[in-house]
Amino acid sequence: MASAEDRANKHLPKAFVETYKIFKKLSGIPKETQFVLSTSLHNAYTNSKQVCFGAEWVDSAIPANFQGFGTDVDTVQSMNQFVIGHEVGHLSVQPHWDVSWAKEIRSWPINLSRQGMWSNVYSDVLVNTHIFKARDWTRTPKNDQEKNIAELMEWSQRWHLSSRICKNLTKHAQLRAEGKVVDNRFTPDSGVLGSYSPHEPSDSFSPVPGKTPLYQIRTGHGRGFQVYPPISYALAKGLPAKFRTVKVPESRNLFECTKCDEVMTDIVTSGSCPRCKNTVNAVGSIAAGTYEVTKAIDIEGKVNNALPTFGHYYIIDGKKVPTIITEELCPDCMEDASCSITSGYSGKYCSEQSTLWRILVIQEYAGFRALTTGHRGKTGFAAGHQFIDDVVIIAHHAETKCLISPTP
Amino acid sequence: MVYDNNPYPSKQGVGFLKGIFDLIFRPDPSDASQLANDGVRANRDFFNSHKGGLVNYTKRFIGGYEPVLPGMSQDSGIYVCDPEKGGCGRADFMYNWEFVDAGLYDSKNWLGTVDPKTDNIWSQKGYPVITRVRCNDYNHCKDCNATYATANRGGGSCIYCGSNNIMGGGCGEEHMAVHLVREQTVDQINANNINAIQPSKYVTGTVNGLMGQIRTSRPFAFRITCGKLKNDTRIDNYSQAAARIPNLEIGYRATSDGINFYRPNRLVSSLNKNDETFFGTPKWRGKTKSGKIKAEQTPEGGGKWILDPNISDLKQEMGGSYYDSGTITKIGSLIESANSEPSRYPISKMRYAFTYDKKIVCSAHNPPVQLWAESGSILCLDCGACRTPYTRSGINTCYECSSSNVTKNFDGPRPLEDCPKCGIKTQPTNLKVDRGMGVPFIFPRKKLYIKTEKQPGNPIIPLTKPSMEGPLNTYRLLLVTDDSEDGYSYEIYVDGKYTTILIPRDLKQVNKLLGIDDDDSGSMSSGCPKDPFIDALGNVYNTGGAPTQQPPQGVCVLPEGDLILTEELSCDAMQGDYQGDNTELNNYITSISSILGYPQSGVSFPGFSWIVCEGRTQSCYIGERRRWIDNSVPNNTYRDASSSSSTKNKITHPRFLLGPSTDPKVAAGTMTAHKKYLFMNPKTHIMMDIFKHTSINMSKGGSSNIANHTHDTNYKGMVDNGLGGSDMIMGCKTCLAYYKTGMDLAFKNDLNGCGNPENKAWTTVGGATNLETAWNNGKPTQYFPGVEVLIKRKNFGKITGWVNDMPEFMPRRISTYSEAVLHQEINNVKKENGWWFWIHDQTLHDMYQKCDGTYII
Repeated sequence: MASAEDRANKHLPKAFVETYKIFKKLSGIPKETQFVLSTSLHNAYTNSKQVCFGAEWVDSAIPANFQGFGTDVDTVQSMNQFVIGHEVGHLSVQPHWDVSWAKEIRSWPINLSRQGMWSNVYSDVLVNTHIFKARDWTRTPKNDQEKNIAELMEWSQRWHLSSRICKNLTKHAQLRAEGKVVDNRFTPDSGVLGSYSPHEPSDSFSPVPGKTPLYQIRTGHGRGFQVYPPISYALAKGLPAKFRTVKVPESRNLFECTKCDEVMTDIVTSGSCPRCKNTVNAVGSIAAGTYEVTKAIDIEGKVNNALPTFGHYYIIDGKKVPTIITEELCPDCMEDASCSITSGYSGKYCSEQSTLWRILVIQEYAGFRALTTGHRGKTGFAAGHQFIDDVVIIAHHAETKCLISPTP
Repeated sequence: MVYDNNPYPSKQGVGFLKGIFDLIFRPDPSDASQLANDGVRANRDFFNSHKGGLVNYTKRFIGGYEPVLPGMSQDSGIYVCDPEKGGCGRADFMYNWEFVDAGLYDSKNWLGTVDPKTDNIWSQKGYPVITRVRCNDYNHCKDCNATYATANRGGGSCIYCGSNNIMGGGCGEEHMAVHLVREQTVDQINANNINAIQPSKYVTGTVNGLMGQIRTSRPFAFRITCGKLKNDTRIDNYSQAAARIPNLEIGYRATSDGINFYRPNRLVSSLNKNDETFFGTPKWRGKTKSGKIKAEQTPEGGGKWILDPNISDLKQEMGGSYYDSGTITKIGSLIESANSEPSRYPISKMRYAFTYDKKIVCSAHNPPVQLWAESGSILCLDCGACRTPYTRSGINTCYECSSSNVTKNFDGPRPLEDCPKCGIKTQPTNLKVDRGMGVPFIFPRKKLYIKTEKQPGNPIIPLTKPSMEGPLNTYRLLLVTDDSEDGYSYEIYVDGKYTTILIPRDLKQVNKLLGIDDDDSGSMSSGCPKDPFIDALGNVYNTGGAPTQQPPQGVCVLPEGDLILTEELSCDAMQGDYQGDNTELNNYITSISSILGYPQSGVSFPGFSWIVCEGRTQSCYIGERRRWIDNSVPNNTYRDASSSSSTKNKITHPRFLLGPSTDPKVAAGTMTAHKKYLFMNPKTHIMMDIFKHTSINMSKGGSSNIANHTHDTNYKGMVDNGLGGSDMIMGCKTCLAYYKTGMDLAFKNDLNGCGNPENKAWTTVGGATNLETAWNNGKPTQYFPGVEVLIKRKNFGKITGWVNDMPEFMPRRISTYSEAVLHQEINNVKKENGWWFWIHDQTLHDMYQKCDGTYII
């Protein structure tokens, strides 16, 4: 039997393996830590001995699966190294490889049944706010490869949360078959586009389970998840209209606070602003339908930011529309491919875990602002607090919608 | 809703979010306005030291139901009519069920006893009491969630809220329940302060001639009684509920000044001083009082009941001194009055029928202040103080800081998170559980309700599917109070053993209850699916695959005339007369049993007797003759012994000491007194209760019907299932040990491998040629499927030889682990050819087994 490492190198995109090795080395986690990638896993997770990934994480390590990013693909692909960095971070930051994870979980002063989830969510905050500047590395990066990874980490999680990832493999396979999207499947040495090497004897388009490399199987429309840029990026780069298309699933009345200028929907206001208690003015409505976005404004007020910042409004038909009442569509199949921020705060997901996730993201972004460029001219704790002040109505929308119509 | 109290955009909501931020990120030591950039360990320590605060802040946004795990569901006060076992899916508080019978249980003398002892069963301590209850008619209001026993099933309007949106039920099936009763009165259970705690384990007597309470007393008399169930009657507090469930009455005795003092009093016959009574005529309903017995009852031999002359003649000298004699006062009647009644202990605290919340006080004040608010109080959102508002011009303001940023008046009383005086400045170190005489006090108890729907259109009641299946099923219920803002709401998983158990009516149902025993492993209501189980003879019970085809059974008439249900071969071996496949024992019992002289009690079923209260005393005492005397009422049941089915009419049958005479001189069927309760002939009949059994098969070498776990399972916790609920995760410690042992050994010689996915010889990946080689005389260095079992089971017995690569095994205790079970486990893992067989998680199992697309670097 070939060694697992040999087989991994053969099956996985080289960058994926190399990135992990750098994280493992520089974060100082034990050499015995195993990196496990399995087709049968769907989410990344880590226990005190293993760092585990599902095959879908391979998709975002394949440049061919990124659409519309142009030469920025190398940068955007850092979303993939965020996942590696995050899982390694549970060993290097919190709970840390040298403590008993069971004891750590049990130390949370909450009901037994909630300890695992709450411990994990809060640990994530600490991990993510350390890894984005490679703060968990035990030494400074020396060579170019290490320096490059460290630099990319800053925005890696934000690319991950703000990019659109279309998981509609069936529709994309259909589009590819109809010639409506470029056939970007893997081409082996045989030169036959879409065939595999090795393949089943009877069919060169059938992979051999366990032997055909994963990166072949997960490359291209209909085979791997396709990654599309955030709407603001598409606007900043002047991408075609299909990259800027959103759907408003339900008609909504829009209101603007006379004091803080927040634009909100009738979900969160009934005459006054939930934040500053001032009156709100009706500023029109947005009917259900599909629209082209003409401007994107982030939480700091920046317009058409090419960086994946926390979105706030889209300008649609000249109106300021909160991003969270839209569905960001896949530019190719025009199905909902909303980024994690937009879907996560839309109010579609209603559970204790969802609420915790939303609190987690607020804290992470606030921490990110406080530890980097600041927010609205403030730095440190003031920047973090300002970010929280700015984001509360977006978060309130999700919780209010869940109170109105909780997930069954 | 909790979120509504502190929405993110509100002053307090945004404050909490910022509070979380400040507890996560460590300030820079050189500039506290900035976040510390370096120092991962210091950052981690800062974060970890604030877990309490993080939870506290986050809980201001997240309410929901507080989960109560199965292991914490003891003494819940909730009874369930398990639909998977033939019940109707009712989930209701025990005070609404009809208690038919009750008896004191003794695990050592489980076939009959009058000698009550405390015991430790299923992690609970106390006097074991087993009850028989009936799923009577009830209504469940879909609007206010109230439940009540009713004479108008499904009709009328709710007695609590007046709604007509009523759901009626009640299937009449009989259940049993096990309760461990502590010597705690209603007042002690409800105690909110030291004044509520009155002693209960005393007897009034004289010490050195002076009257007083003697606390060195000991129990001498027991009686279980039950208040009458009144249909369509409200229950609003624990005291009312406790009056409707069985109570264990305990009498206490102490010897002082050479006299035996009793509470309740010892009454004797005016004609025969050796004829004594304490509780009076045997009764199931109503309280007892010495005065009432004297006035209303007479001894069987005539005369009347009088107070024991040793007590009635007692005198006490009052006010005397060394020089003067005092006044002589007769104290017999005073003692009689003081010892008139026994102490009464409810059989359940009903911890989830009413809230049962430890009382927390803030010790920063003298006297300490309880973290509790009454109806009409307000909470100041600025300073956190809580009390009645200062109202001016109709506007509520805070008494402490005058802020008008306050909550609305509380609809009902509730616990607080902070001290009502200290408010947001509450120091956690000042918060303590209030105690008295070593016992924690509790906050006032609020009535809980069982929600009928999780959300509109999503019914939970009647129960349909258990949240966890096993010999006894676990059901999930949602409990709320009538005040949605008081913070009390529970998602309780009621473990089957802590609630009602439907009485099995045939051996098939009995078999489903297998594995319920009294040790820790047995207390799990679900066993490991990879556990072969073991019966009393060491036989394998679960081969792991599809159920093996059992040979047909039928009635076998043994040479002595006894009947058993067995296979034809076994019957032949016992020189019996096999009556044919699928012949039923009850057909023979009904026609032959009278000839054989077996008693027809209310507990017998074809082939077995399931004992609930039969042979277990309901009332007993130690008299002056120093021996236990039973004083029970007859047994009651709603089961028709001839058809094994429920009946609408209550049937009474002998409880104790009464059965058909074995004297050949008297007519067949004549009932006579016996020294113990008579069940069906134990030679031909399996006698069992929830903990014990005796089986003819055990002595005849056949396959026992009783099996025990050989794998040790545990609850690992619960996970959010993403659907607003939780799923339980179970683990098997035995499988985990096998898997780790096997994996470590396999990887020892195959460092980078991930298993043996191509099913090659184990030697190709560093393993051994066969199991015997792998075992290496007890020093394994190479892996072969099954060696992990041998390693972990070496303390369960001794390997004495090898035949066809299988060990000959001499077990230490054949009923715990046997050669057959060992071989079964080895065969199971050999069949899958790898240690991953023991991994329960299918994803991880496949990952290791197939090794396809799985990469370990």
